[in-house]
Amino acid sequence: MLPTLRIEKRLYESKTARIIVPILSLAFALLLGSMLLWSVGANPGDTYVAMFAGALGGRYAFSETLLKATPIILCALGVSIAFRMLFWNIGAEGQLAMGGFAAAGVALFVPTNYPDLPVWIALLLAFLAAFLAGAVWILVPALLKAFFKVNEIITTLMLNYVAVLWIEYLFYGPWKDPKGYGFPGSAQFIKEMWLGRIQHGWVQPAIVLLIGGVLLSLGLSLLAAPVARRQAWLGLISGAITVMLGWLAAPYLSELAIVVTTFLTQGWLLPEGAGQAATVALLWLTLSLSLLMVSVARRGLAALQQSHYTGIVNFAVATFLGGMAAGQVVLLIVLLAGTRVHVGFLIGLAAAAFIWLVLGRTKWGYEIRVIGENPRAAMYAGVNLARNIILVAILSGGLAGLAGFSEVLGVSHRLQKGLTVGYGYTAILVAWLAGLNPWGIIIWGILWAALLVGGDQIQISMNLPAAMAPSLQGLIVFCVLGGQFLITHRLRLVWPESGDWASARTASLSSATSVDGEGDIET
Amino acid sequence: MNEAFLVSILAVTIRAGTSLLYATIGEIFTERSGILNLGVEGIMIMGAVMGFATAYHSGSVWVGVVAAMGVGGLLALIHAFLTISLQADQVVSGLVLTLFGTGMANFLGQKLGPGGAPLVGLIGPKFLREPVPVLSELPFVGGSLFNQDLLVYCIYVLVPVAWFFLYRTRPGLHLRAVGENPYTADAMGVNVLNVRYFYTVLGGMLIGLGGAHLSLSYTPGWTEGLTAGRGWIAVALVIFAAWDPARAVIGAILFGGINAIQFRLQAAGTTIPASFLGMMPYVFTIVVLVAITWWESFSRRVGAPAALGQPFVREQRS
Repeated sequence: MLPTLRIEKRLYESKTARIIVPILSLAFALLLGSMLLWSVGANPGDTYVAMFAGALGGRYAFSETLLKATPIILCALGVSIAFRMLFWNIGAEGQLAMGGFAAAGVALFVPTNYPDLPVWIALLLAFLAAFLAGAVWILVPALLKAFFKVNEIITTLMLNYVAVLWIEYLFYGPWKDPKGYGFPGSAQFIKEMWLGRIQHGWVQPAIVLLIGGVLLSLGLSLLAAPVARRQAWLGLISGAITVMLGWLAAPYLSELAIVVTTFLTQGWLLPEGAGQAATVALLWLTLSLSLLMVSVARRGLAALQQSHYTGIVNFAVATFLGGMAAGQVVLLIVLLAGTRVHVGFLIGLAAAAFIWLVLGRTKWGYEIRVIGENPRAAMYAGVNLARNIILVAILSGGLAGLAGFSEVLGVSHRLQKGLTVGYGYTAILVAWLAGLNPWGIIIWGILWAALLVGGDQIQISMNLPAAMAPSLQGLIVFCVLGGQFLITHRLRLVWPESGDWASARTASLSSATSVDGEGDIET
Repeated sequence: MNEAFLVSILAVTIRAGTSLLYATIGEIFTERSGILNLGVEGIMIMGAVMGFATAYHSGSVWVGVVAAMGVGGLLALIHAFLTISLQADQVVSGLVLTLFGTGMANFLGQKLGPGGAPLVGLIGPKFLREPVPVLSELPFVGGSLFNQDLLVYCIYVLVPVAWFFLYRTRPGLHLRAVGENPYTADAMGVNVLNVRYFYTVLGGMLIGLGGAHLSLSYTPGWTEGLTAGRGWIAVALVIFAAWDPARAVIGAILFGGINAIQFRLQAAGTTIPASFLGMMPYVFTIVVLVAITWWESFSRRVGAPAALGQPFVREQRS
């Protein structure tokens, strides 16, 4: 007799399932993808290796992936906060375009018209203008939604087309580069308005800030707990000393760090032939280690506040953690220095931290989450729906606008056709895949960018049908989407002779055969 | 403003409105069953690229039409499986379908030409105008309504049939019941899941056909981003039409008219930049949507199907 498969709704969402299911879905999608690849006569293993190597297997490849991930992450963060309160902002593409337009406008005209203005003020102006332009572009749908309940999916989407046509009008028309030989784009901005790229010079402040910062924050948090006054002062003082000493010793320290990391990654530890792939493997190993460290550190710091250890132990641990973190960052900086990765990526990281703080730690964030869970309950609790829609929309559109700022000032250095290539749409996928979690967005954003870069690579290097890359991407999303079902439901095998599952369970319990909570029932 | 000019404007209006109307009616069937399919844009563009590519290689427009409907049905089936069987979020699944379809279509467009060359710029078979023997001799309407291609004539038949089916037949009643209250429909003995599957796929086929009309008749050939948001306009038209195929005609004529005016102005060489003319349909969509929503707020208009966007789980009455 064959068992039948029963589908049951889970009473509680399983935390393990939330983590395991997406990973399994991803693996399942890759499995389906390899069948697809095999059917067109390609070797799936080789293809995946080529994709991985093309996207993450080397300094240049990794930097291109991060470069592509930057606008995706910024847009996805914006989209995610709107999605959280069920405001379906599909207009990130248009908001990005308007942000790019505003940033380009400032970069083109402010420095030439006001040559006395310090550059950092012009950059700040561009930043604000881009944020505002993105916010204004979403404000129309937001107001219509808040006061007339007009479907925002359609209005935000329609404005995408308008925005793209608007910037096309500008770079084909009034802003067209007179020396561009008909190239569709504006003139290049002056070099001072370009966003800085990651460079070796950042190693020094990074080390100082990280170690000093960890110590300082430990001291501050201990100061809040009255028991540990003495330790707190110790923390603050040693943090301050670290910062000062670090600053003095920085040139030597950073020089040392650069030499050591370069040596570790390219010299002694990895032979010349192992090359870039091994470097990046090492990087990914350390990155995942550092993620682990962060979670350990968070628990560790919490435990330290209540511990009875002497101050020295606490600070030894804190220094060690800070040093580890600094080590990761130094590794990243050394790896990325000299590539095209620019400040925009850091803006993305900062924005993720900001959203994480707002959602998790403020009253406003709490309101947003309540509206998302149950708008009616929120309304009865006295939450102002219209006000929240508008505020969230402004933040959402503004972040997408910043993606435009980062693309225009960090990558293309002019307003041009390549600005709107679908990052705003990709962002919707990324935000959703990440479950709207800001840290998840960074991970999925980089993964998705890797998929885009790797997809381009396999077309060139493996000469595969061009439809392969979007097919793989589609498979992944559809599998993850379908896999959600397993988070809220579970499958159970029921043997026909055992009747309904409850009696089967008691029967098997009494006969003392093995029963585990989740698994199948043996007869 | 002579007669010939008006006739040509009206003819373009109808041709532009036809693909919109196919997509709108397809989406009306889908939404009437309670499934919100936001993948219209993606299905339409896939229908357009597959329709043109198969027509190009087979030499027959009808093979192209069948391919477009096939690919439309297939994509809608993915949406149906995810949202009906796996109860995935309908908004997300539809959006994913649009993104996937658009990306896929643009990639296919670069490779489906002869020997893996791009499709862009190729001239393939297209639907020719076939004047109706007697009717096309009529003044004014003859030249505009009855001097069109076969797909346009098909829609003249499809609209009344769809209306009649929806409001005057038993399966149409079942369809509306499933969208309004699936639990009652279930108690009536209607298989809710089957009905939803069937109309989602049928809707997808019609949407694909709308795409094929674009690449085989309205603007014959393939260019990247051919549909240019028409799928989304169709989604807006469904709201405008209050989920009624007959009213959808008015909407399609309105939007077709905007397209026709845009082309006329461009051809007449106005001083308005082409980009601004291109914005017209999108801005117009927003304006119409606002007007209709505002109007709805104090009229007793029949709104969306009550169960639109909600999964049906038999054990769990709501």
